[in-house]
Amino acid sequence: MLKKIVLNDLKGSKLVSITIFSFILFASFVLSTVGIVAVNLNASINLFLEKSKAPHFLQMHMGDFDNERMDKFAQNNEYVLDYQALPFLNVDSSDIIINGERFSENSQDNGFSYQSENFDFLLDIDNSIIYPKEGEIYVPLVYFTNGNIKTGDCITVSGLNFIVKGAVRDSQMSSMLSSSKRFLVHQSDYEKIKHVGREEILIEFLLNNRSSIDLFQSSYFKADLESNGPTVTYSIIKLMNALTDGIMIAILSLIAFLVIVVSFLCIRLTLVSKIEDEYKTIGVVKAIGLRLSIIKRIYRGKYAIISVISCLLGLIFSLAFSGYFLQNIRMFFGENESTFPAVICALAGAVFIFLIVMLYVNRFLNKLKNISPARAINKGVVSDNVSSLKSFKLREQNILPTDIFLGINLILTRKKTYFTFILILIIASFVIILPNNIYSSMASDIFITYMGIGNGQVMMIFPGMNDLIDLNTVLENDPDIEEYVVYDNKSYEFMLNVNTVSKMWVTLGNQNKFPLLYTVGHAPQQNNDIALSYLNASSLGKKVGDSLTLIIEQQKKNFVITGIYSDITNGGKTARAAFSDDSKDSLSKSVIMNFKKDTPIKEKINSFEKNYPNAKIYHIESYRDAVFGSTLNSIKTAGITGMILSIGLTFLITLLFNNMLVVKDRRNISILKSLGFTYKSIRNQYTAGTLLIVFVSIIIGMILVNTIGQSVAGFFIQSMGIANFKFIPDLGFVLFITPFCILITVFLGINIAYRSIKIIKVSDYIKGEV
Amino acid sequence: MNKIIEARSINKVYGSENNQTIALNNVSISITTNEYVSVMGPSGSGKSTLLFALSGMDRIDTGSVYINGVSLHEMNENNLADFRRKKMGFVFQNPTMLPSLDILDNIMLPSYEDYKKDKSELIQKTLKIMKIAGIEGTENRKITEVSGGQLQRASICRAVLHNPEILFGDEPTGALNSKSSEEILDLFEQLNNNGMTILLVTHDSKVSARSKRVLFMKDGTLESELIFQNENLQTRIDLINEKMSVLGI
Ligand SMILES: Nc1ncnc2c1ncn2[C@@H]1O[C@H](COP(=O)(O)OP(=O)(O)OP(=O)(O)O)[C@@H](O)[C@H]1O
Ligand SMILES: [Mg+2]
Repeated sequence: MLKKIVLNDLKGSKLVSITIFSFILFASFVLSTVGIVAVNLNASINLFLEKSKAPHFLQMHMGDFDNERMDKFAQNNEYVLDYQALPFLNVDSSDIIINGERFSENSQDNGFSYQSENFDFLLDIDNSIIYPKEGEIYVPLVYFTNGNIKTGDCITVSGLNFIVKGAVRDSQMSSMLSSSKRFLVHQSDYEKIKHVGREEILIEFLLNNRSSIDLFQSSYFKADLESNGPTVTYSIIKLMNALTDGIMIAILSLIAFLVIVVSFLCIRLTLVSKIEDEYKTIGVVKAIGLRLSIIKRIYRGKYAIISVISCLLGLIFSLAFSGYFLQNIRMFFGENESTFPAVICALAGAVFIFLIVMLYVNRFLNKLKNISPARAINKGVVSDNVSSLKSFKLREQNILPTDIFLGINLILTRKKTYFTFILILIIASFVIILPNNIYSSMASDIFITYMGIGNGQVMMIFPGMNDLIDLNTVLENDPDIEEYVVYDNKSYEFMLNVNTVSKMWVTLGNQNKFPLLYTVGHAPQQNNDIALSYLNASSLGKKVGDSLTLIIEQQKKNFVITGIYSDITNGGKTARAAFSDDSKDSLSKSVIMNFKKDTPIKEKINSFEKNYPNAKIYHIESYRDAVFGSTLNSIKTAGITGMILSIGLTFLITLLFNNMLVVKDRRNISILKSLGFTYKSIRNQYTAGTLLIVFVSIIIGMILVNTIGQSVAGFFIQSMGIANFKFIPDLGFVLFITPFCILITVFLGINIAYRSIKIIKVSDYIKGEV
Repeated sequence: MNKIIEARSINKVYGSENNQTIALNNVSISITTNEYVSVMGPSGSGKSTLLFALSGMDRIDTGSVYINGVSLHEMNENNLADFRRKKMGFVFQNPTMLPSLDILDNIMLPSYEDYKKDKSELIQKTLKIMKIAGIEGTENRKITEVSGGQLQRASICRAVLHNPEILFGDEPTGALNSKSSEEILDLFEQLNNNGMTILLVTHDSKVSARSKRVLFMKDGTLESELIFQNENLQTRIDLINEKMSVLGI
């Protein structure tokens, strides 16, 4: 008899069983995929960094370079294993001709290099070291993947023709987060084109031990060696390489987590209503002394079968389709040698899902113990979590129509039943809003100030030129410029502690125009004010109000730290001050400007480029897109995926939940019908209740996004050097599109589900009652 | 005399082709205003089916039912629902109350829409009826906080609050002890004396003896009827029992 009950249940609840099956399948698919991608990403990057022998410490330098002194330093330094100085030729994009046309990719600093001898090798897509012949050129991988350049193209630099032979995998510069890109040519060709650009030196060190990078870094600065340019360390190289795929992994993990939660809620929902339906049966079974363990065994068997099959299928799918997620990793870092760990990880993911489902089902079935046979038989219903509310009475309210009152009353008196549904709606709105908030924040104008650049339209950087024709007069007299600021970038020594001196990149100028985003404090105003970047402040352990001693003209001078700002330029460790100092040469000058309305910015940039061939000129919007473009795209993809997924899920759950609700409530419904309530009126009651729930859930979802969601997103983004990240939400999307989508979905779902109210016959549920 | 209910050769079959139950077999019945009729018969004879058919809660296969001369057949679902709410009252064997409302709200629920403008009048009226039914003081309780008899009396209050033209009852005292049962039958008699038409279904001769006409049903057909004049209660019970044994019920 018991077998029959459960078999009938399996047959009768096809929709439910299929839903649970698909959720478990999807959860195990996503989790296994996360496992595969994470293992592959880590293994591939490590293998790639190993094969390319990425440097542990890299100092870019523009200007005079004392080779002998550096050699001596490297030989005498206890941490150094190997050292090399590699030239990198900065060439303006307009000087690079591809198949007869100027190269359009000017948001990147393009440059030329030849293969190094000892380490920091540039690899081809098979991860072997490239040795180009004369007349051959290998181009940065991104230009290959985005279709700008292909094999066989002809690149002309200062009249010299090169044939494109392939792509370069570059451990330091492949990532879009790095603003420089290296083209690889033969050394003799390099010498021939040297005069077109400005040569920069990459001073690279391989250390005995990766853990001594920090110690080495301070010894390097203390030695007062060449340092006119950004510093990059191994961990930053690794981070930059991992970021884009890392974000994908993070988002997939989030989705897996949510799907698991939703599957549980779904299982809970079905078990709860099943048990309530079977309450009487279970009571009878207990009363006549049958063992409950039989029922439990059969239910457990049912879920074991469902979850074994679905987890297995999920695993198989993840193994079959992980290729899609691995494309990017394969392209940028190469095939990982052994697939075994990935398979193990995927298997672990699937097994994990299986175990957790079974644990959950088991825990739930244990609740059967608590059913008292006497009460089950007498009342026939679980005390049903229903209670009339003392203070919410039909006769005491004047505002709501009766139907709406009854609908709301239904929910308020059965919060437990509705809990699952509310939770799923909250999750859905969370998943829809969060990625969109991250996206809109990173895509907004203000976000640029998080990157350490003022919110202007165009930025110009003049490398190391004090003798520049008077920049201020030129800018002042340009009729198109609305406002501008000129900054002096200088390198100052400062007291790391009482007797250690280190160096710091300081930007001098008016910090009030085009202000940055100060996470704490404010911009420096007085001559003895200074502000530090977030990464700088945290590595020095400084806070607002602390003092910092710079060495200016051999004199120690005390500064007060007035603020801390977000910055990702120049390795993220910078400082800003308002004083001026003519005694020291500038490393570079930078200008930020806004144009008057209707100024054609592109043309303006072109004319600047002509007038100042040495300057780097950025359209700030494009610059941001170039740096964060691929990250933004990942987020957008994740957002759209999340949205589709959530809406599908919401629809399914709405259908499922409300179907069950109607079945559960058929007695209530037939009572209402016998009292003369029409189908329409009863449907309105349920609709009113559901819409209230949707409304509340969306609001809770929004609140969660802005609290938990913001902290979690901020935590990830902080690793890039962006501190105190605050959402800049797209209000139209959050306040209108999201609620509208969810509402429409739920509305469709309940419209289908509530049709069954119509066919409930009064006679069926009232007549035959014992 | 006005015919309040008239059914002409109604038929109702349950089930599919090879497993059919003929629940109503060519039943014709007519009830005049202010009558007090009870239907008796063994279990499964089609009493409940008849009641649901006459009140329009269930569709019939063939035949027609008229209430106050209006054919139920020609009304749509919504009109039927309105009709039920305004003109009919129902009491079932087990109380049918919504657990999410308290007693007073439950009783007022079907009348509520019609008294929107003057709720206090409705409340006064309800309290009066509750007093007559002997359940004053329970209005703020949950439905689980009163006894079965009290709940059934509340159901009756709900059924008669809007002053229906006809009151249907399907074993209204079936779940009650004899004392509660008596009190409820007293209530019915009082309502009938005030002009309400009542149709009860029961298998208890003590209950049907309180009505003025008893119909006997067997296997979906109306077999016979008894009409009472001024017999005393015991005589009526004897007459009914006699009739039943003749019919083999
Ligand atoms: N929904 C249904 N489907 C199939 N058969 C039904 C259905 N409802 C009632 N029946 C059958 O129709 C017949 C009449 O049922 P009905 O409920 O009218 O009997 P009743 O006289 O009210 O019995 P009782 O005194 O036990 O309440 C019975 O044989 C019953 O089995
Ligand atoms: Mg019956």
